[in-house]
Amino acid sequence: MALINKLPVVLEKIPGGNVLLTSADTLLSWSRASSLWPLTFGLACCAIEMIATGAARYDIDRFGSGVFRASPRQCDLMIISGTITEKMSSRVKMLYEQMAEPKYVIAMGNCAISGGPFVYDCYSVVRGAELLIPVDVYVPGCPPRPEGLLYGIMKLQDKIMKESIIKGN
Amino acid sequence: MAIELQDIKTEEFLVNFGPQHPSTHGVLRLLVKLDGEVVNDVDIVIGYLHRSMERIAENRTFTQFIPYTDRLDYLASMSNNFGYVLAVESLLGIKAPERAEYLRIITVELNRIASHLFAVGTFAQDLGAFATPLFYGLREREWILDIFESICGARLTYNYMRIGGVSQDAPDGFADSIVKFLNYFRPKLDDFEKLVTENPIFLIRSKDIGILPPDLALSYSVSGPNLRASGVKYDVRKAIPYSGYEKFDFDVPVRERGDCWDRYKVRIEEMRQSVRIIEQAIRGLPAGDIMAKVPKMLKSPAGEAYHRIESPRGELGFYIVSKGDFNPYRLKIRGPSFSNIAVLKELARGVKIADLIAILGSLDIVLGEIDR
Amino acid sequence: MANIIEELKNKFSGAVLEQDAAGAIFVPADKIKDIFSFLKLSYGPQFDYLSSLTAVDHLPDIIEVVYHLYSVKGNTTVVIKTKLNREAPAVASITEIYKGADWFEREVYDLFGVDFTGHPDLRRILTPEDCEGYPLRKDYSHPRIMIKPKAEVKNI
Repeated sequence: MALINKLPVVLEKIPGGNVLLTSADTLLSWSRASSLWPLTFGLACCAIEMIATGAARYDIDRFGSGVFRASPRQCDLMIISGTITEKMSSRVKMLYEQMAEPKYVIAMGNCAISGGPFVYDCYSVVRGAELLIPVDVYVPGCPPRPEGLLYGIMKLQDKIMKESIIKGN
Repeated sequence: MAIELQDIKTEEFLVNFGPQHPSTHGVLRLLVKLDGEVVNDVDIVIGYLHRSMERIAENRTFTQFIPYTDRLDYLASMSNNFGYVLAVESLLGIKAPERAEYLRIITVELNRIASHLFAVGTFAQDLGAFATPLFYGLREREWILDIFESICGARLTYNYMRIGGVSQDAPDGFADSIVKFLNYFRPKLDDFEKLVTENPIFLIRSKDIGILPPDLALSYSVSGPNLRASGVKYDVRKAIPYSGYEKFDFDVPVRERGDCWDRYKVRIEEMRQSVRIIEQAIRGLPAGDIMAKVPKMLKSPAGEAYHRIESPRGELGFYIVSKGDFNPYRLKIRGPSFSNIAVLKELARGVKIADLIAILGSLDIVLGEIDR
Repeated sequence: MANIIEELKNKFSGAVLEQDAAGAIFVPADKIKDIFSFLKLSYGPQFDYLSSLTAVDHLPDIIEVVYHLYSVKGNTTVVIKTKLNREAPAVASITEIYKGADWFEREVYDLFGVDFTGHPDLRRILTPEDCEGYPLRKDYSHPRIMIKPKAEVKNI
């Protein structure tokens, strides 16, 4: 990535170079947003809706995210679908740290957002994925419909398109 | 100097099938002791989805706990609702009206078909048929989820049954949509069988793998299709009939060998029998109330009740102890997958590691009801 | 089920056996293994299927362990209970008789603290290994537990 880091400095000096820079930005962001590869990280009931999203009716492959990889080193999107318990929380962190930058997280379902129906009277549930790792998009529902998850992915794509290499992502 | 095969020394090593793995069907951890490719021992670690449902039940009223039962075995939520509601009704001495019983049976049998479609699809995927059988199964399952959405508004966690009946009546056109689905489904199931059942690769990977003898199965409290594939004819719907199952005419498929192929075949046959039950139920659906007269705040007398039903994975039981209050004093959920997976330790000894995945897939477990 | 308790009383004449209103048979804790062996092997319709094994915490001083047995051939169910002292609850393990009791007993140990003597591998199964205390006991408290604010029960 050394060339990419030197590119803004070089291009700003050339007259008309800013146009080239924004185009490079758009090209990079567009390519990242259109091929988000998710991690197979289904924990509980929301995982079934995630699998249904990948199936034939609500095809997630048309958004570029059809390739679910099992290893965190090979993917850039982590969809936390399901309840995080205390026993599982260290593994969530370990998997997040193994992913390479740029990486994004979608918290799918009420349990991943804030603990869901297990907030009260429960001794073993972590109330929300944001207590462990930074989250980009929250998709509410218990479980959210597959269309909801697809809308969440579209919102994440919009968020990625606004990123820029000049400001340091 | 040439090295002879017997000079090579091997050591046993420990492989961790972590909680995050594509073929463990959820957050299950297996610590496998391997000698080359042969499994010597497997230690099963569960508890990564322990959401303390039994403690939550002590602090909710009987009706407030029904949505939590949806999230136990999330592939067969109707069955969980059914088991819990029947247990509370037997504790309180309430009987649901006949139309409610028929609607309950129709939805539970539709859910059985949906759950088995998912189970055989993921089993075939574990063996290497990467997505085709799963997508075929999920395509049919989407029709069933459409029917459920028309009756209760949800796709996965239905919260449909209430103590004393069901919450919503069948909408207009319900009978037509079910008959249309059954006519569409029968040839599709034959298509699925043509693709998978006699496929040579599928046969080599699942015949004579993971044979479960019947006395070992009974000793480990295995139930459901896993037990019936080993030759024991025990189905709670026939043995201890509940909620009107005695009125319907259906067979219970039993096979003799107890290997992975038999467990798969029992599930396929059970789907056909569920189609029979739904046909009879929808033809004979009586008119009437969908809810018995129960008070809004249910207070139970002191006592206890244990009720079991046949969920798609086996015998699901709810044990409720009450001290005369609005909340249960103790609720124990007997999930079938908890006992089904304990037998993996015996079945895994001496098999190759690829067969371990096949056996795990054929047992059809859901972590929600193992960990509760 | 009336004749089960009669046969048990005949076979184990020294033990005190009672039956409560719901039909559950209370047995003393030291006779558990003998009674279960008898029910599985020697009794008429053999109880070869252990349906459930659980515990109930009755404050202030009893923990009850409840066994549900089912006979596939005879199609009957029997409920066996035993009362244990809450300070140091201990009972013999029936893992040699029913292999499925292995995980059921581990779960009861994990959530209630009942010690099953003779169990091959008694350790926690559902909660993390470093969990302290027994979560399903009535006097268990943990800072993570948030108590749901109780709404008033109105007469409707």
